[in-house]
Amino acid sequence: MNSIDGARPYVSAFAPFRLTLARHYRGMRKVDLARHLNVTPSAVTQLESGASRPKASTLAQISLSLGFPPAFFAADGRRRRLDDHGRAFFRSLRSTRQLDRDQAEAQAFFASEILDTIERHVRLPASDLPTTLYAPEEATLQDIEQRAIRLRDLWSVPAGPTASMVRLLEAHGVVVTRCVIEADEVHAFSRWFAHRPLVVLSADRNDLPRLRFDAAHELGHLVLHAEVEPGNRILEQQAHRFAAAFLMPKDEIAGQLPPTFRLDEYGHLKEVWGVSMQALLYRARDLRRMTDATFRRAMIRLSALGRRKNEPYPLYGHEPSALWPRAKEILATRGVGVDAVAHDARLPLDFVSRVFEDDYDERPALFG
Amino acid sequence: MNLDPYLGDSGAVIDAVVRAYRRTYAINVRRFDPKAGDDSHTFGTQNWRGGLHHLEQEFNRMPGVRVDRPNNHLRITLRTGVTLRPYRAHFEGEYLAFFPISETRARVARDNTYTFFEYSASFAPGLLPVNELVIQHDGDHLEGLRAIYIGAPLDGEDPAKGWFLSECIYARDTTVADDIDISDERDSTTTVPFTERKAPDVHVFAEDRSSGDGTESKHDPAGNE
Repeated sequence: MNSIDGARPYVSAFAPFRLTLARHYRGMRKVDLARHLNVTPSAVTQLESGASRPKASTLAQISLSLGFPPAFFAADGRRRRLDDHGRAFFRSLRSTRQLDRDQAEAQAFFASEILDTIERHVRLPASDLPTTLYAPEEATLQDIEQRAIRLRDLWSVPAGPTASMVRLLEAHGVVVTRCVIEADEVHAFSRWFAHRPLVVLSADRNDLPRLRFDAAHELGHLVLHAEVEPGNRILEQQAHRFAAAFLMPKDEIAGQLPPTFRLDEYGHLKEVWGVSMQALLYRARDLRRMTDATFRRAMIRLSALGRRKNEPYPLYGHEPSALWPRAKEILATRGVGVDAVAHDARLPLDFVSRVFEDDYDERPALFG
Repeated sequence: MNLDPYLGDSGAVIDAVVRAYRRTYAINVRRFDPKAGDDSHTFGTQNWRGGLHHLEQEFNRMPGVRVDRPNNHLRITLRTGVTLRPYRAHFEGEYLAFFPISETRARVARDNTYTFFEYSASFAPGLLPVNELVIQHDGDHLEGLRAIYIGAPLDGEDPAKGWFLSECIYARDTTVADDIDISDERDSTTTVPFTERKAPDVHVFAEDRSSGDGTESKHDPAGNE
């Protein structure tokens, strides 16, 4: 069967929004795709708006250009659209390119498609994010601190430094995946897909404190904010404070934060708590363990050392997922390989493999 | 010998040191595994790191005491101004010795000697003129913790005799197992590093929903979607 014949069964069921998704995932603008297809950009617009339907030959060409199977472009009967379930939290709309956001959102959508597929075979932990901790925009930072502590209590997180944030989220039904794009501006984001919260962490696998803080920040959004308002600075500030309080509870860390800045002391705390030195300094200032002037001097000193971006006492690596490898293991016992999941979800095999192979890093895995 | 002039509340300080090392040795004896390649060297290293950790835990709670780690070596500054630093005990024959095998060790002994000779007159009557005390712990993976000493080393030719003071603060009957409870060790403190904490289990189970709920496991290419 040639590629045109292979595409023919899906023409009548062509779902325009799936073309948009595939294009977004590949980081292409309409003009880029048009060039690949040798059509005008407005022809792509018409296809994506549903104003026109592709011929089998065009669908075959789309499939080849975007690297998605023809079946992917057919509607699946669920009338599902990307924005059916709200939008994702992005830290800053100004610093994140629309192209990158679209790409990241498409990835999150595909991850949810994989979940739909595998949940026919495996039962994942049910989401138990409380709905009682929503915070209004006018909530004080003290309110946010209390909510973070309340969640630690509800989830019975032991006192002291939090072990793996990824495992903690997964144990409570939040699915975590890594961004496949390398856009540094897309730190991390989160969103709901039906009953399932999803957190997408940065592709960077070598900055453990940042990844842990990002995970806690996104947890903050999921717990505090019922309404998604990407780029809202107040909500971002709340999520940030939530992350700080969740990872460094006031009553447990305040006594350990020295009022003056010494690299070795803060370096040691960094190694114990798994947060960056800068996060510790902010915490020391916010908890009034350090004066504003000392805080400023400390940050200037870190900058002068050229170490704001590349801190001393580095903590490399990432927190591997337990959920994806375990699901893969169970699927394998049933004879369902990653290729079968890709086929069922109608997604490119390389993407599905990457989602399952969360722990391909060569460095020793923490919390194994 | 009354150690109050050096340690302040010597009872509290000694209790804290003893608790720290009893816990350290108990944990490391329990996890010692020759099949995993453990030997006296790994045991010593674990005691070293574990001792720093447990001392830090104990003294962080003590009012007026400052704990820090210059050059990654624990320093406990007591209310009296005297500093305490932990080391493993070494013996020269039957004598406890303090070999200046590191820069810090050499400096500790040198500082005490210098203070002793230069400033003896300025110390209050009855107070021995030294500022640097060392904790020395002794034990192995078979018997666990045997003894702990607190001493003030001096800089001299014979490391086995160069002590200004040396007191055994703890000696255990090693024919009886140490009964210290370490069951709450992992999660009861706020100073166990995040990497050493137990991450929660993620429960993923097999489930068959391909029949019964009407969900098909295969995509139907016939266009019935």
